[in-house]
Amino acid sequence: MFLYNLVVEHREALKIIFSLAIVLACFIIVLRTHRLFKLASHEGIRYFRNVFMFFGLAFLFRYFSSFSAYFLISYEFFLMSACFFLFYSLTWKRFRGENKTSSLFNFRIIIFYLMALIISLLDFFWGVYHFAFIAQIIIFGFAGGIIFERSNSSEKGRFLNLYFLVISLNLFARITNLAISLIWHWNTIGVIIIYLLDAAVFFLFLYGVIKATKE
Amino acid sequence: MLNKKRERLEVIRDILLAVRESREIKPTRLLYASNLSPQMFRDYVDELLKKGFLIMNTLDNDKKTIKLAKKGNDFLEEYKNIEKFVANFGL
Repeated sequence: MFLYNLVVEHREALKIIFSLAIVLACFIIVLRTHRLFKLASHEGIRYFRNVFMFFGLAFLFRYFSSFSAYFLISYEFFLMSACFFLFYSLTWKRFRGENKTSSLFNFRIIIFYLMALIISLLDFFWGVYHFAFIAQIIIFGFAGGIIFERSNSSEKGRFLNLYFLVISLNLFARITNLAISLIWHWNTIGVIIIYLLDAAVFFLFLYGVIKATKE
Repeated sequence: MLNKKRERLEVIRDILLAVRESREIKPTRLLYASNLSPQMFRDYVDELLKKGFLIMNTLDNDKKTIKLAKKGNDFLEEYKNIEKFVANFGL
């Protein structure tokens, strides 16, 4: 009870600390993966790096959104772009032709940006988060399926199982998010659970990247 | 028995390893060692030269040799990490 009161009392400060901690985690992941990409020029690593660049930007704008609600559009736009990049990092091989130009501005990626923009504008004008939650549930559902299939067919399935766990946790967090917004009307304990789940997801990602890029 | 098609990273590793083992190698010998078609070999070597993984030297008699650059050596040292990362995240 004491802990609950403490969290509720300092909720705004904790939100800022949470956002900045995620930004820091993303920054470390981007630095580590960028170094690998510079050496290997591997498209998958490139898109994986972009995922965390966009997640980092999203949480930075979430921090700014305490000053103006308009920053919520940028927050959702970058968040959705990160989700699309995550999906693309797993599926880029299925699309013909290697992208030798920019990984941020090409025809396929512009479609992702457009979808992210539409979702964030719909949510903003309706004053809800449902469109983003539903889109994320679909994306993480597909991503989880792809990783599960790969972990079963790969010899190095152990780490992929961890990745599958992280994506499943993310999927669970978004389903809980949707339920809390629709059914429990942003119940405080529910919101705290979501923050904890999100923090767990990002720190598991950070752990995974540090482990895999150990020098 | 059919061999699995090599991934791009494996081809690069094989080319760089062949150069490192010989310290300095003629393009024709590297072509044989890389086990690639001449067109693909040219594409890969051009890319590796452009990215600074390999260095091309021209001798007095106009013959060319290829040497490993520091960046190429760094790639070989990091290859296991890169391979592990790609496999671990299903990329």
